[in-house]
Amino acid sequence: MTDTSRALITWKRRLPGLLMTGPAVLVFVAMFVVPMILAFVLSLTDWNGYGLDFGFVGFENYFDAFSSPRALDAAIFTAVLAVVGTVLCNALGLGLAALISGSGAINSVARTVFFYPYIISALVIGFLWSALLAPQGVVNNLVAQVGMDPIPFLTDPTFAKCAVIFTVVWSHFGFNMILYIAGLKSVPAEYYEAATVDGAGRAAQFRNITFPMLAPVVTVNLVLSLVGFLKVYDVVLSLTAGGPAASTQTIVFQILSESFINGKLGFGAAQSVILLVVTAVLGLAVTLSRRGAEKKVAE
Amino acid sequence: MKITRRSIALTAGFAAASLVLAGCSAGGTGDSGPVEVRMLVNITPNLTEDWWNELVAPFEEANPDIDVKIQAPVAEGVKATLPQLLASGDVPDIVETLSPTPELAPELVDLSAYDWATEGPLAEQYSIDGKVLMAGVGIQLQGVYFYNKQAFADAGIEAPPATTEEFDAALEKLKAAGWTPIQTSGEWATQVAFQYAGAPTVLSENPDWFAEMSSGDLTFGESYGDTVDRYAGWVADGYIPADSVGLKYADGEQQFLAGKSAIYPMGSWFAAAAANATDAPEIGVFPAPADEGVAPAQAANVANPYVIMKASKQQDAAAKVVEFLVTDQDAVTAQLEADGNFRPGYEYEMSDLATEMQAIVADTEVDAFTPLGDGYGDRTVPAGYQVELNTQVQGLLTGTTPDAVVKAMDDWFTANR
Repeated sequence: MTDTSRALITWKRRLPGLLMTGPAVLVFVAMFVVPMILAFVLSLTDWNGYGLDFGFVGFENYFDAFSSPRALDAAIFTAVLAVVGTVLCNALGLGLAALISGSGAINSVARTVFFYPYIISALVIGFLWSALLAPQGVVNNLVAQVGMDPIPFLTDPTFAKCAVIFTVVWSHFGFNMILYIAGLKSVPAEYYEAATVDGAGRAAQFRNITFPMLAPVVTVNLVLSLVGFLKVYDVVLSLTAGGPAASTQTIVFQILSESFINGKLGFGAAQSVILLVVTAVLGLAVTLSRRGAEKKVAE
Repeated sequence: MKITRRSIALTAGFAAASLVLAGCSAGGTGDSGPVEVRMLVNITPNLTEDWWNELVAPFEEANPDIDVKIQAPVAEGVKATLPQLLASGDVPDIVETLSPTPELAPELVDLSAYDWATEGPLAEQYSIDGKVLMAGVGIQLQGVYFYNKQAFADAGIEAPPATTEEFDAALEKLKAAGWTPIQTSGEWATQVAFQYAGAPTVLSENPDWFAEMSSGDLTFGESYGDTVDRYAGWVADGYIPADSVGLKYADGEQQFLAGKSAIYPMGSWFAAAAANATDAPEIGVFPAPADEGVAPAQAANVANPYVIMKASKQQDAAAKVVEFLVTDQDAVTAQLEADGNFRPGYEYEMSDLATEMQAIVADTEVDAFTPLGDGYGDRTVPAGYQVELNTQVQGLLTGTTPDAVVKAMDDWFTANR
């Protein structure tokens, strides 16, 4: 058989696979890779959104993003929100999953109740909690009725940050919980039976069986939460509008504000590129750091 | 049904041909059909797509050779939509809502040759380098204080304050009478009370404020430093409750309409909300005063500004459409009425509040009208000023010192000019 015919046979074998994956690759390139490259190119300009006057400014937008007090504050708050939110969502999600993963009507109702906030629009959730936490909101009205001073949930920068984190966690932990419940269902019952025979209590079983066996689910949950919280925008918009005094602005809130309100699309693009890189690096770092734990499960 | 290769090939071929044909016909008007003029407009609960279509219907009837196609913006509004359309090459012929700015100016048709543009409301204020780039329908009044007449009566205030000194005295009386003197809120609206407090004096004494701030010849501290101190004093004295910053704009409005505060600084669009409110207190309005001896600058925007895009291939037809929208008695009146705006000589059924504002517009010298915030026309400061100002004013309500606010604003100008 000649090399040409061998190559032809190889191609024939590969062709169906290429034809099947080709459209997806094309869509991915068109919808993700090209816009990403364009965003990077845009980040090197001072484009204001009008016309074709793209002034090349090099990495000036990146320097501004790292030196602007407003952008730095937004980056710090986003980091705090992502880390604290991820920890709380996963702790709550895992804890509740362990409690209500069993069968029975009460558990089913509880799962539905805890998951429900996740399927409500984030904008609606923000408005809902704003109505509850506002100076004349439901909570402060109750507080006033017992003769206490109002609590500055949305009027004090520190309280407002906590309110945003709380609201984001409240609306997201149900999703983590459902993933953990799915993970719990996949742990073989024999392990627990053997552990019970060996005299292990529930806490020991959780520590030595449940948690290690959930390693892949923990990884997925951590990555999804972290990436998701780095992109929080809508809850902030409807709950605090980034205030008071810009204390609850997140990076994405800043990107949209700078791009479309202030007409600094180059600067907004630079912030987007930075966010993309940070998100990718963190996601990868979490995945790699969890490799060891996942290997143990596989073994 | 048996699916053969041939039928798949035929289907694919037919689909491709359909796409090609659709591509050929999309957007085309043909030589014999009417010219299509696309108009990107602001869609609001008042100004629906149907409302816009009804507005231009008489024009289309009178000009069967022109078909006006109303284009709605994406969710973020006209300002966010236009750059997207420009980037994609799919430029509308006319854009409503956007005011000319130095950045947008190169994309706009110069309307200086048209009397209906040069003689329109605030044409001079909105001009850039002597060119009139937009035609407006009316005036949207800013720099006015709505006030609860009962509150003023309770405090023994017989006439609306005419100077800042009288205004501050009125606040003291209102507070003493048990009223919350000034209603403000969070979101974008916190800066409104601040600008109304300072702009009538600052912009009157510094007619080139926008240019001097942009060039660095003037600082924020030099021009608005006293206003920062004054506003901080209002907060300290309880004239503005510090927790107002936690209210939504709509909630702030409702607080005033529920009779829980005495003075509400807001633009003329508030009159519509007041007219629709049930059990609203009796409300009056007066222009934001300036210091004793200073003729106050009166903040205003143009209502329904129209610009024609240079990229439009139908500029003459677009000009005809805009001429109709800014001169036709019925069209102008309908637009003024929809958003509660004003134009001398154009009357519609107004509430008492709107009538009072119409009088303020009529009594104001044309030269006294001024922009606020980032500005418009030749009078602009670096984009983002109003957003930053709003942030800093919120800071005054959350414990930032006046000196820190002034420094932050001057630093912002240094970094952005």
